[in-house]
Formats: sequence, structure tokens, C-alpha cells
Amino acid sequence: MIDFPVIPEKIVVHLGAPGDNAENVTETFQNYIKNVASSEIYPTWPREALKANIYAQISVALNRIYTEYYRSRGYNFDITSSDAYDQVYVYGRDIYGNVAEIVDEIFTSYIKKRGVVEPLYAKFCDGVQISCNGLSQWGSVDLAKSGKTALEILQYYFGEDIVLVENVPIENVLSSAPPVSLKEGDSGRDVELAQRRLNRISTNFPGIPKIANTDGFFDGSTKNAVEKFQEVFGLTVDGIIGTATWYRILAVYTAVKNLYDLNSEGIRYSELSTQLESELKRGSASVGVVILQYYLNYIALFVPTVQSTKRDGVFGPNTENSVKSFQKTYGLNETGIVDRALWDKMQNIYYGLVSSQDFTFREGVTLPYPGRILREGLRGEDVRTLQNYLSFLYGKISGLLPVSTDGVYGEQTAAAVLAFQNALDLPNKTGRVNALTWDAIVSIYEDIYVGGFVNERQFPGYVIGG
Amino acid sequence: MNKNENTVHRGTLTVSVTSAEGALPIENATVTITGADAANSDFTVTKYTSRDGVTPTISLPAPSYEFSQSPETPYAGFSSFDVDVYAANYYRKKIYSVSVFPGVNSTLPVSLVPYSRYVPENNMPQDSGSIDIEGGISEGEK
Repeated sequence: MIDFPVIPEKIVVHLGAPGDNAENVTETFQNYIKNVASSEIYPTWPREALKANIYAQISVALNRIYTEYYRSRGYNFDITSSDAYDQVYVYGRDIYGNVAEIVDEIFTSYIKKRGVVEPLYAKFCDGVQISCNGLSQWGSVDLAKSGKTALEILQYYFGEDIVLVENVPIENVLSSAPPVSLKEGDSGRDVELAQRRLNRISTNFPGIPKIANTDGFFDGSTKNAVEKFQEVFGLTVDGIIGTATWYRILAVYTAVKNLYDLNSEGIRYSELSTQLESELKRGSASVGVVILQYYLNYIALFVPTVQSTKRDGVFGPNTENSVKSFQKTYGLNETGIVDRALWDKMQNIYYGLVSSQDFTFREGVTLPYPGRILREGLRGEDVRTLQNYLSFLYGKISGLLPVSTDGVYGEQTAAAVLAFQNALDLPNKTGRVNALTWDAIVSIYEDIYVGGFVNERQFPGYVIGG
Repeated sequence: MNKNENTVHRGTLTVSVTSAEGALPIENATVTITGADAANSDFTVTKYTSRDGVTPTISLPAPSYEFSQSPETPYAGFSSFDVDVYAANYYRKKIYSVSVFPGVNSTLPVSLVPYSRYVPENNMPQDSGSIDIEGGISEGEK
């Protein structure tokens, strides 16, 4: 079990009671809570009642994950969609805008009892047809109308000794929302990060205008991009990046980058042999498993009932589940074993999905970590590649230094690397390039490079001829 | 529900059509919304998605606010609509009983599965054609 609760990136929901032969779907945690809140309560209720209920829903889900309630009982999901067991989730339903904005603001918070770590299993029921020893949904409406805050409502039902834990870290995310809203005239690293992400998103969503200078200064063109983003994603359009807009930008950015990464990776695998050498099953570990996991994750991106898997090259329980979900989706026996026929089927579906996209693939723009720490005194092609990246970034993010691309790691390169490490506040400010620094450079390079692609009919962020 | 109530109160719906977990917007999808309760049985409207995959904001009739403020009211607190989404090269999808509340802006995220345009060399039938999302999951039913 993990030590402290974190907000998971994703949650696997079983669409039925625990023992039912129903499908599983994977949702981002944020979207899952929006769905539950839209299914459990009415959006016309007072804001504090909505917040109290949403805190309870978040806590129930986190409790199930933290205690591994279903996983420890041998199930391959985190929670069910059934209100008899957990809380209602309706796959594919509509989401209320005001509810979604509250969730975007508070999804990194949960309820716990004082003195314990575990998120509270904050039981609730409608309070009319069913009453329970927990929060009454209709009761919370009356309490909110009598002027109580969300926390007071929760204390009324769960006791004075509960507290709200806020700003809980999100799994795999290093940048939580800035403490204050970002608006026109502001500047700094958070603005810069948001600008790069918006440009990256706008490569897929061409109605969002490009931001000409992603230099960390919140200018008019940044405001335009934020407003259009808010319009497209159903947020209140105010041109300000508050918590809700920040996390929505992050969510869309993550989806866009994930698709891009899987597409670029496919090019690498297309050069490998794609014939299945021997049957793959629990315990297999080979190049075949690496490609299998790639196919499964690619298909899972487009087909919601196919579960993604960890990409570790080992055919463990996680991969077996994913294979079974594929077999279930396509009406095959859930053997969890990949033979030639299944492999061919999977490959055809993968190629089918790739063929369905209109994107033109741009050659993978970045190289992986060269495998040696780059430092003063070294020379070579990897040093030159590093210098190329740093030169490209110079002037595009603040605080960097110029560097010549001579393939020699001298004082100038070391100073440029150190400036980069300082600008991003990386943990190692050494002037040397280890895997972490390399990945940070490459990731930003890619964001700016790909984010710079301008689509037809898209406002490029500057006035042509101006 | 009373028809007079209906003409006074409105909520809105925006349909957002994408694939790949929201990473690819689908342009020019046809979105048809029809009434799914007695008060709106003859209501129907069709909209198309922009290049960002979203329809314009669609204003829809909704019951009075007071019907969602207490558990015992004579009418449902929301109106219901069915939404049919069609885009070239994607499997069609229908979402039932989308609820609209007065004064609330809702979004319906619709994720479509693309058709395969790939013909395997061995001339096997195209496998993506056998996806049965509709059959496996009850879309939006409550």
C-alpha cells in the first residue's frame, strides 16, 4: 500500500455490481468525479451543498483506491458504478458545467478523520427514500440554504473531528496549480508553462490561436488563447487561469501529448519484425511483449472498454487483464493468452486505427537520453544534439544562455545547462546533463517545436506582414 | 410537466465530439437532439461541430428551478433529450436521456471510435467493424 494518499491519474470503473459480468472503463480521476457528481446530485443546488457532496464523492473513491478495497479481493477494478456498493457512475453521460468547475477546483482535496491518514469512506444517501449514517443529499441542500458552508455541512454529518486535506499531489504530475490565478500582466514560470501547453493543445485544436511569445509574460495573445480554450472546453470565459482552467489545460495537454507519443513510437516499432515468434502469456518477457503492450495501449486510447497496461516488457497480471479486456470487447474467449490469431487481429485493429487518422506524421523530433552523463570535457554527436536543443530554446524560454553547436562540452555549454536547470528549478543544478535534465530539455523542446505547428485557418499568433 | 413552464425556463447543452481520450476533435459531426419526455416530444434540432469538435451552445427548454430544490415535487426537476452523433469515418453513437436543468450549462462529451481504412494484406475482413460499443455499454441511461 502507498504511504500517503495521492490523487490517481486514472481510475478503473466496473460498470455493474462487483460480481457482474460487466465491462471496465478507465477514466481520468477528474472526469470520473465530474460524472459521479452529475449522476448523484442536481446542479441547481446551492454551491456549498454541491461542494460538500463532491468532497464526499472524492473521499469515497480515494478510500476505495487507498485501501485497495476491490483489488485486494481479486477484482481488476478500483470501484463499481453501482450505488448499492459505491456511488453512481454513468458511462458517457452529460456533465454539468458548474459541477465540472467545482470538481476542477477541489479534486485534489479529501475528507479524513483527525489523526488518521486514510481518506474517509464518506457514506451518503438521498436522505428521503434511503437514510443512512452519513450525509443526506437532500439534507445538505437545506443546510446550505440555512447558510452553512461545505465544511460545516460535512462536520454536521461526519463529526467535528473531520478535516479537509487540500492540494494533495497528483500521480505523475510535478506541477500543481499556482496558488493565485494568472491573468493579463502577470509573468513567471507558471505562465510560461501554461503558454507552452496551450500552444501544444492548439496544434490539435486549431480554433485556439497560437501564442506568439511563450516567454512567461501574460500578454493579450495569451489572454485570447485562454478565452478560446475556455470556450471550447465549457469553462467560464474570463481569460484568467484559475485552478479550474489550470487543471483543464493540464488534462487536455496530457491527452494530446499521450497520443503524440504513442504515434511517434509506432514509427520505431514499424521497423521491427511484427510476426509473432511464439505464444505470449503470463510470465513472457520479450520484444513481443513490448510490442503487445504498445498495441494494447494504442487500441485502449480509442476503444474505451480495452484497458491500457503498464509498459514494462513483462507479461504480468496487468497485461493479462488488458488482453482479456481486448478479448471481451471483440467477443472472444477471455483466455489472456496471445496466440497467432489474436496477435493478427490486434495488429489489424491497430493498423485500422492508425489508418483512420488524418494526421501527417512529423518525424520524431527528439532523441532519447544518450546513456552517458554529459559534462565538461566531453565531445560528440550527443553533445551537439544537446547544444541544438539548447540553442533552439534560447530566447523562447526566459533565463537561458546562448550556446554554440560545436559538439564540444566546454564552459559555455556548462553555463547554458546550469541556466536551464535554474530556469526550471530542477533538483540537480550541476551544469551536467543526466537523464532527468535531458528529459526536461527534450520535453520542453518538443512542446515548443510541436506547439509551433500552425494549422490551415489557424491564427498564427502574429499578424502576417505586420 | 406544464408546457408554459417549459417556454419560460432554459438550460444549455454543448456537445463535444472527440476521439483518442479527448485528444482529437472531430469536425463536422452531425448532432441531432430530440425531446425524450412528454413535454418535449416534438422537439428536434440539428447542429454541426466546429473544427474544435464542439457544437454551438444550444438553448433547450427546462422545467422551473423549484422542481429540483426538494425531493417531493409534482414534476421532474429536469427535461430529457436523446442525442444522436454521426461523423463520417466513425461509428455512430446515440446517447439517451441527457438531462437539462434551468440555468445550467451542460456539456456532453462524446467519444467516437474510428472506422478502419486499413485492408490487411491477407484480405481478412476488417476487424474494427466488429466493435460493439453500443451493445456492451448502456450509453447514458439512468
